[in-house]
Order: sequence, then structure tokens, then C-alpha cells
Amino acid sequence: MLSIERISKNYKGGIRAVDDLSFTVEPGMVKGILGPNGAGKTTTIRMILNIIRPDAGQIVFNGQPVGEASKDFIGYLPEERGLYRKSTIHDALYYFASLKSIHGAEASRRINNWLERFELGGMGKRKVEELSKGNQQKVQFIASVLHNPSLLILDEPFSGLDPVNQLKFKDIVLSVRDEGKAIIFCTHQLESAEKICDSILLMNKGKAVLNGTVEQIKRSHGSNAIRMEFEGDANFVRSLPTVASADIYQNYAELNLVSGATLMDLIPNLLPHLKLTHIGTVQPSLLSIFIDTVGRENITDEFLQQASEGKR
Amino acid sequence: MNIRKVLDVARWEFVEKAKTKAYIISLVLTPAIMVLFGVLPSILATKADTETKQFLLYDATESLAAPLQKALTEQYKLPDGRPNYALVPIDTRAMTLEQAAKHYKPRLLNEEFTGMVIIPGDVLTSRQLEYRGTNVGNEIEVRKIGNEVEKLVVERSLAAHGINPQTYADASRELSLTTLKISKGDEDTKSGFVEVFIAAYGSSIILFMLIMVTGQLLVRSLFEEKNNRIIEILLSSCSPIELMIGKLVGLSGLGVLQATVWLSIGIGLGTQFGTLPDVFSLLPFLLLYMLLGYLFYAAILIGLGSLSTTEQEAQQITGYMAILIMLPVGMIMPLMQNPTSGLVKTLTYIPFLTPTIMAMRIAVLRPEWWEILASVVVMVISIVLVMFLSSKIFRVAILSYGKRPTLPEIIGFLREK
Repeated sequence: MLSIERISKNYKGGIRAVDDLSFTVEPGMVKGILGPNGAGKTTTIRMILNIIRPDAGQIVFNGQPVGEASKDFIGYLPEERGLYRKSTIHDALYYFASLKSIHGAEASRRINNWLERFELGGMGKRKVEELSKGNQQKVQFIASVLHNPSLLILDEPFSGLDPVNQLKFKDIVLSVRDEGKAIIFCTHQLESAEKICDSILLMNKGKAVLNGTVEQIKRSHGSNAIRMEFEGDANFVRSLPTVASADIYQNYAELNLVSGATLMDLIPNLLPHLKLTHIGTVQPSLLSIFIDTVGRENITDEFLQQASEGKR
Repeated sequence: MNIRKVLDVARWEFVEKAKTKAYIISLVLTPAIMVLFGVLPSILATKADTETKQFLLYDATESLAAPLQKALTEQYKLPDGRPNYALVPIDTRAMTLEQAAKHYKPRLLNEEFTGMVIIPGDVLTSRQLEYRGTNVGNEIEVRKIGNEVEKLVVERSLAAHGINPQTYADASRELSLTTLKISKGDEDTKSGFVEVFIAAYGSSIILFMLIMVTGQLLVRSLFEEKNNRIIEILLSSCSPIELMIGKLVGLSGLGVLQATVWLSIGIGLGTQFGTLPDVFSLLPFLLLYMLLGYLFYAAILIGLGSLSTTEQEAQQITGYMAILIMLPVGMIMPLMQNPTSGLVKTLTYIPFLTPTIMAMRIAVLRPEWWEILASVVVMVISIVLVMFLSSKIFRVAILSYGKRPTLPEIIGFLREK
């Protein structure tokens, strides 16, 4: 349905925002585009939306090169969001609907249905600025789905939401997917992406680092991953000959063993130094796969912190 | 370009901006202020009395009281026919001026008498007249009485020299001056300073106000959309050109509504409270140039406005525009004296100045038809050019957040594919 074919985009000053990127999105699937700030996510989205054009390559949507006509079939929830604060909810939503070629009674009917669905029924006459931040976010989401788009692009849809509303949003996003829509889900919260995305594209510095279903990616990276929980100082683990790499946190760690090594080779080395409460082989998290692939030195601490938000 | 989307944007811009307090206030308040400062004082000043006003008269000549009362009664009457001003003579032989002043002071203070007119005995030679009252600011009334005294004094002086006052009156009658503007048509039309003044000043001030009010609304809303990223939703729904033209159309709608309201009020008041000079024949031209000027400036504003990254910057941009619009108003006097000079003709074709200068030139001396045509063509080409450049800047600038772009970067925007 959406096919990105070897697109590149350069900005002035020789910045290569997107570099020879290819991927596809199919109906009924959530495609996660993940990566740190500056990875080229926003530029990629803007090219799909035909807000900017790629310097090379092409984007095909429903069999046609993407263009102005595609805009009526794509919905977009940008990352940093705002609404016309002084307008009424209904008027603001009606304006967005009309720009997607939905007019008149049909537009009003859809607005009311969606407000009901988000438990905002009867609030249409209220001014946007009277709403709480969470409710404003719901209205913004409604603006992106009013025209029943076949492709929905959500940029950090859960940021700033409380846990209850995050769950509600997640359910609605998944129900939209089950209606057969294609969804692009952009985030730097790698952990929360794992729970929603059927397929992911991990980007770094404009390039695709990893691309495929979560299962595929984990299988190809996951044979030798160990997760352990412990009490004590585990930093010595890094220097063990059986350990290829380690992400060590306060009282748990994720390790990758050198090829050929097993859990049984590792345990005797740990027992004298740590009080282990749990240990076993696991599939590695997307974050640790990303770190392994890109290299720890290429990742900022800020991203690591953001990426593991929503982990538990 | 999808016309439907352009109209959707235009409708939104028009309806939402028309509902803002700033717009409603300017729509009503601006004319109200103009009326307040322009018309109200003269209305108040000329408001007819309903009761006869009593003035004390201390006439030391002892001969002017009766003819003065007669003259005042003839000239100034209340609506019901009674005299507007009544003089109450003080017996000058019974009281000195100082005694009289002291005696009547309480009755002046409690406004039983409006004031006291004092004619000295030697008025024919000293030419002095005195007025005492609680309100010495009612210049107009004091002057009315003073004028009548003056006429009497002049008559007396003339008589003393053996001249018939009527002979003098005939001899000193004012000449009336009529100016005729020669034009190509059969009939030469009367033209006056007032007409030119109203046409030129009026149209520049209206253009100025329109740009100030609606331009500011535009730039501020652009800033808002950019600041809270609504612009990304809009651009994921329509093209930048559709958005820009939609905004221009919506804005022009606001401008036309505003200009219509103001002009109606102006013409209404003009016909109600005085003679309106014949500006009607100029009106189509004034409106044409106003519209062209408005589109030109609005197109610039939309380009520059999209560059602004703070609200203050957005305000400043409209300020600079306003100065450019008012610039030609300073040239009105030299232009009126020499409307066909080479300099004026050259300035006519600078698009920033064209609307105001042509408005003045048409009022002073109708230019050749080809000059009108040429100036319109210049404006239309400029508008198209400015809209093209603005759209180039707009497309890129509305998506670049953070710091304000530098000039080389803006030139880079123009080159962007």
C-alpha cells in the first residue's frame, strides 16, 4: 500500500537527513519507525505526507506516486501538537475535516461519533482551551482520523498522557488497525513500540539500521541473550571472557554471550560475586539490539533514557 | 490547485478572525473614535439652547444696550422663537463697575446669569471689550456677542467720519473664489482642496488601518499556527500555495468588510452633518487602488510573517509595512502643486507607493488613461511576483522552527525546489 523506494533527502550544510531508505507498510499493520532525535523520522514522515519532496527515490501510495491527491487518504498526528485554542472543538475539527474534503452534515456526524468514542460527547461547543491537556490530545487524534484515512501516521501519540489514557489510546489505535488501516507509529520509546508494532524500522543518522517484524529482528539477534536479576555490583561481568556485551542497570542486567557460550558457562563465574535472584535466556529488548547494532558510543544518554521510558 | 480547499481555508480565516475581539473592536471602535474626535465637539458646540440665556451688560457708553439687544434678538432665536440671548443692563450711574461686579457675583456663580459683558466708555477709541463669567471657555457665545458689539462700534466710528455704514458694508464684501478642474469631458468639474485631501488622506489612512488591523491578525495567526505546529496538520491536508491563497482571500474578505463598514459610516455621517465633497466619482478608482495595494502588502506580510519566530517580531513586521504605506502622505503638498512632474510620475510606478500616489493624482488631476492602465498593470505584476516569492519563503519558513533565518538562508528558501 505504501512503498518507500530508496529515498534520500539532503539539507543545506551537507546534512544528509535521510539516506537511501526503503520500506513498505501494508493495511492492517502497525509499522513502527524508531530512532533517536535526528535519525530522520520527521523528514521521512514529511516526505510521505508530500510536505517536502525527496531528492532521490520515490514514494508510492496506493499504486500512485505520492502527491497532493494522496493527502485526503492520509491522517497525521504531529509530535508537538497544538490546536486553535480560541475556537470551539467542533469548529476546529470541522475545519480539519473540510481540508480533507469531508463537508457538511457528514463531517459533523463523524465529529460527534468520535467525541462519543473518546467520552467527550456533547463537548463540541466548548472552547479548545477549556479542555485538559489529555483531552486536547484526544481532539488532536480525532482530527487525524475524521476523514477515515487508509494510512494513519502517529508521531509520539502517547507522550504526555497518563497511564490510563495511554491504555485507552493504545486500544483505539489497535482497533483502527483492525479496521484494515495501515498505521505508521513514530516513537523513541522503543519499549512501548514493541507492544504495539507488528513491524519496525529502526533508524539512525538517516539510514535504516534494522527493518522487519519484531519477531524476525529478535530471532536474528537473540540466540545468546541473558537476563539476570541480582543484588550486588555486577560491573565485573563486562570483563568475563564469555560475555560479548552487557547492559547493566541497578539490579538487573542484559548480557550477550560470545558465540558458543551458554548460560551454564556463565553461572559459575557469577555465583561467588553476586546474589542472583533470577537468571535465564531471553529475547533481547529492541533497545539492546539497537545499541549492539549502532554501537554504544553513537548513542546519547538522553536517548537511552527516553527509549526505556514506559518499560515497566 | 484544489479551489475547494482554498475556499475552506478562506472561510475559516474569515469566520475565525471576524470573531476575534481585535477585529470587532477595530470595526466599531475606529470609526467611533474618529466620530468622537471629529464630529462630536462641533455637534455639542452647535447644540441649540432651549432656554434664553441671561447676560449682564455694563455699558459705560450708555448708548449701545438697546441696539445690541435688538441685533442679538434678530440674529439668535431659540427654536420656539424666543430670543436666545437676553441682556440685563446695569444702571451705570447707580453703581461703579467694581460695585456691580461685587453685587452680582453670587448670581453669576449660581448661574442665574451666564456672564457679564463690559463695554468701556471709550470703546470707540480703546477698542476694548471685557467679558466676565464662570465659564470663559464658551468662546463661541462670547464671540457672538462680541461680534455684534464690534459691528455697532464700527458703525459708530464710520458715522463719526461721515461714512454711510451701508456703503462700507457693500465695499468690504468678500470675493468668492471658484476653482474649475479642466478635464477631457464636456463639463469642467468643480474641484477643491477638501476633495483631494479626503481622497488622498482618506484612502491612505484606510489602507493603513486595514493593513495594521487585518495584517496583524494574519501575522499573529500564522505565528500561532507555526508555534503550536497546527501548520503541519494543515500542510498534511493541503498544499502551501492553497493555504497561502486561502489566507489571502479570507483576509481580503475581512478587509473589504471593514472598508465597507468604515466607508458607510463615513459617507453616512458626511451627508448627515454637512456637505460631503464630491468624492463619489473618485470612489471606483480609490477602491481599485486600495484593493491592489491591500493585496500587495498582504502578500508581502504573509511571506515575511511566516519567517517570524516570536510574537514581537510578528508585530514589528506589520509596523514597518504601515510606515511604507504612510510614506507618500508626506508628499501630498508638493504633489498637489505639481502633479505632472517627472518625479511624481516616476514614483507612481514604485509598487509600494503606487496605490497612495495614484489615489492622490486621480483626485488632483486625472492622469491619462494609459497611466492608470500602466499603474494597474505594474501593481498586478508586482502582486503576482510578490505572491510567488512569498509562497517560496512560506513553504520552507513555516516548517523551520527555532531561530530566525538569516538573509542568505532566506535566499536559499527561494531556490528550494
